[in-house]
Amino acid sequence: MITVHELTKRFRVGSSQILAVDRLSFVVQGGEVYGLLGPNGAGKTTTIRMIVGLLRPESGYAEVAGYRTSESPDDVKSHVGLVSANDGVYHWLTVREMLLFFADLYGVPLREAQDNLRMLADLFDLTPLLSRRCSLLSTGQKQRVTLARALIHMPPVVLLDEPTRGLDVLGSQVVIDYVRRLRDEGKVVIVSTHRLDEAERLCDRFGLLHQGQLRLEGTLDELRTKTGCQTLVDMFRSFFQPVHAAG
Amino acid sequence: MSDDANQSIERVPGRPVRERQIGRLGRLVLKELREILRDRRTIITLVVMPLLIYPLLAVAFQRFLFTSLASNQEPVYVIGVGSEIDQQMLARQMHAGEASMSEQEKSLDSVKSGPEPNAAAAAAKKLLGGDVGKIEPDVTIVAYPDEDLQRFVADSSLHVAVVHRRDRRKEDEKGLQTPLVWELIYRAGSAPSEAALHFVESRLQAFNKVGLDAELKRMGVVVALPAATERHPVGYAGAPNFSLAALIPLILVLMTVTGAVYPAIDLTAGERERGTLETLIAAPVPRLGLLLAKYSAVLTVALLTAVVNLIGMTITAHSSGLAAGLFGPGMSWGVVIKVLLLLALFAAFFSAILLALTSCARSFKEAQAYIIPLMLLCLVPGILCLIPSLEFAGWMAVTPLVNIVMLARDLLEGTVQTGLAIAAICSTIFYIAAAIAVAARIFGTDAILYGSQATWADLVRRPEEPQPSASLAAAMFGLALMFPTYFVLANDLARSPELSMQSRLQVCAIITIAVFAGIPVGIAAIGRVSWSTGLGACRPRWAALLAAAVLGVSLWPTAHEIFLLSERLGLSWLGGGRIAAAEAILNQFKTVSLAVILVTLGLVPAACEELCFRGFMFGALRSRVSGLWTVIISAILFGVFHEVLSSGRLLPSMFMGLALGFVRLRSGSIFPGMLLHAIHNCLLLTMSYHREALIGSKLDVEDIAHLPLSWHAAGAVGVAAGVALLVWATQERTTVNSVNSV
Repeated sequence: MITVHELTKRFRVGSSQILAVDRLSFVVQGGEVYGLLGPNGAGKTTTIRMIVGLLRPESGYAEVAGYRTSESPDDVKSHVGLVSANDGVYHWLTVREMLLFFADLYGVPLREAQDNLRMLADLFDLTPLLSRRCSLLSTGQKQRVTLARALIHMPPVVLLDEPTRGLDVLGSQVVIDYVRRLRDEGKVVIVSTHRLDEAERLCDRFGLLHQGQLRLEGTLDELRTKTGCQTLVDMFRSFFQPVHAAG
Repeated sequence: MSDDANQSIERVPGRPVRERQIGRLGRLVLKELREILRDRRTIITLVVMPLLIYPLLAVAFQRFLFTSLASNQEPVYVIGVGSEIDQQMLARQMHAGEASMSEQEKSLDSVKSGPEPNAAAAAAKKLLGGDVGKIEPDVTIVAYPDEDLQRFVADSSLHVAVVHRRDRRKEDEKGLQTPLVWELIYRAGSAPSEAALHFVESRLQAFNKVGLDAELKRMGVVVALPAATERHPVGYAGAPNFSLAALIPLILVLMTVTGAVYPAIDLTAGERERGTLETLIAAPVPRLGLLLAKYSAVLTVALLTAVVNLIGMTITAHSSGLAAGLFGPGMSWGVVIKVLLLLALFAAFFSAILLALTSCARSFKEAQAYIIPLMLLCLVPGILCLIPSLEFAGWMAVTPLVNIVMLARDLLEGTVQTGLAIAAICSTIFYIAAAIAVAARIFGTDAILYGSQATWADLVRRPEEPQPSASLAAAMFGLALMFPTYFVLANDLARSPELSMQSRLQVCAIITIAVFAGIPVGIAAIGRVSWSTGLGACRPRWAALLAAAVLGVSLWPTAHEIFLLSERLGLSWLGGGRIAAAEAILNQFKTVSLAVILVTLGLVPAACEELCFRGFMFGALRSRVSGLWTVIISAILFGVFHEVLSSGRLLPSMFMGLALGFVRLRSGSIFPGMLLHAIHNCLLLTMSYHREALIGSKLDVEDIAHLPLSWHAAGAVGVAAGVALLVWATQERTTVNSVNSV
């Protein structure tokens, strides 16, 4: 389970400060896929980074599997698999070396790591690439390696920031299918994406962020009732466009 | 949502445990090395560059430096005269003059232990590996009848022309007559021409003196020369004028920096540029662990580069004939080991500094911008050590980089002082630890990860919540601050003879308070460290205090034997000079009251050192390593600090450090240790103060003799009783702790 409580983060820009996340609170249960949606600069990535402990919040807290990020950062990190929006790969390592390296970082025994590697390689169609150096991979292949890297330690909590970035339709479908599988296994998944059509198909609940605040939260049906719009795209148009225009 | 959903997020099975962390650190290092060494740029820096650079440097040395030095070694003087008669006459006269000068020099041979009068020539000979001895020029006298000798001199065909002239004075004039005058034509301002002029002139003057002396003897006249001169060279044990060995530290600086720069940037700023830094920081690995792995990888590459450079340099030096100038008559195994140890020290230092610097950078470009000034700065000590008159002084021993450069120079010239060498090595180790700690604090912070604005003030920002102990980084930083401060202040105090003993003791106490209490407490206050858990300032059990008191009285015979053991092992030396110095200090103690001595040398050091080593350091170490290792490491630090101040105290102080650490570990408080330490100090000081009375009552403890067996037996009983009491008094506390840890 993930609990985010009154999480607040400011960034200093020159002499002024920008409020990136403003008293954000939400809860995601095991077996649930939560869509963290919002326009650029809404605070989605900052929120994910604070949950993992990469950024320190000004106030509030985040808890993962009962561990508070500020108190037990390593416990939180060991329970989380993170796919970041700007993930990279180690150019001089092979795909196998890189995945086993991360498994080691998360304390996975070698034999177990190799089993996980085989399973993920089959799932993301990485088997032919395992001996290839990461610098020789295409964008889509790198993204698949990144996903496998985030899941190599079989984390109970998965945070996906733009997980289908750089993937074609078929690649995206593999990710979507796997996220569903994670949900079925009872894992907690938070997805932050700009691809609203995917989010509609993928997420059980949504949190719509704007200017660091949670403006709307609920299942798709609940959001339809609240906004009167049928799709997330329409909701975005009606909810965020005037602000954009003003901005 | 299924019921077993929450169960699945209870715990991850493969969480790292302490036992596996060391193995994982090794695998982290291997991964970093694999990544670095697969990069062709590293291989080019590592292997190809030395293969190209050193032969080119050797050519440059031979072409420009040694060509000019070689001319000093055996100069060639071409002297022109106007006729064959002049040629024969000049040759005869110069030969006679030369013989006279040789006679004079023979009489001075007994005092010729120092450098030759011609220091530059002697230095040139030494550079080339030859003996320091007289340099004989190759002189050729050529007759050019009916030629314009002045023109030949002007166009450098001749060094000097010697032209026969008639005396301008009248023959019947009284006084010194000069029937023959040699006019010496030379190029003013030309060093070779002027050297040839000096050569000819000095020999002709000697010839004239011999002639004059013979004439006076023949006439039976005694004439006193009003102001004769005679050269008297004396031996000089100082640094030689110039030695190519002094170049080695500079070469080592360049070698190790070159090797460490690229991996340091790639493993820090490069991580961010590749986008792998965030995922690395998101893994449950302490940043200090990550940085240690990166440090090991950078150090390995730096060492590899340096060794490849060294091999390249050695092969080039031997094949080009420069080896004698660099390494003396032969490159012995001793020199090889010295150079390798120095390489390790230089590489360890630069790897840490570069890593700290590049950890601040957000990109390759930014990292390079940081490193260029550092590299220029590094050249300064390297060039400084080429100055022969610059001696390795106390402050240099704790000045980063200057200390190891000067140590390298003195080590290779065989003039190193042990105390300064230990201080230089220890301070460098502390600087390395502090640099890694700073790097770990910076690496992966918000500012580096995401480019958010941060200032250097963030590095010392107080945490919002109280901390149970100081971080290891803070402890390392504290050590790097305390060691040089204490070393410089204590050395300055030792070199202040104008101070009375009482003032000296008072200043010593102030220094101890400032360094061992002020710095740790200051750092702990900035870090909001808890006084009770972080510094051990909590109320102990009375029985623990009693146990400490018993140990304080009982431990000193064992400490005394360990001191003797360290002497036997060659770790300390109680020569006559040291005993005399110690007795002089003991005599000076008589000028002050015992109370002042006990407070300044007994109580103050006991309280402050316990606060530092068993409080601040112990707390920081205990948060990372087991109790046993905490006791051992804090005892080593305690021993090193005492050794640097007074040679021979390493083992006894380490022993006391182990005992004090054990007491701190068992009791959980610094106060029993303070009591033990104070009693131990005060007991020894009181015995020293009343030494004469003890001698009178036949209870004297000689510094160099073993104690009676009965004393050891009494001490052993006391130690056993103290340990048993301590274990009994802290049994409950330890049990509670182990239950909590389970």
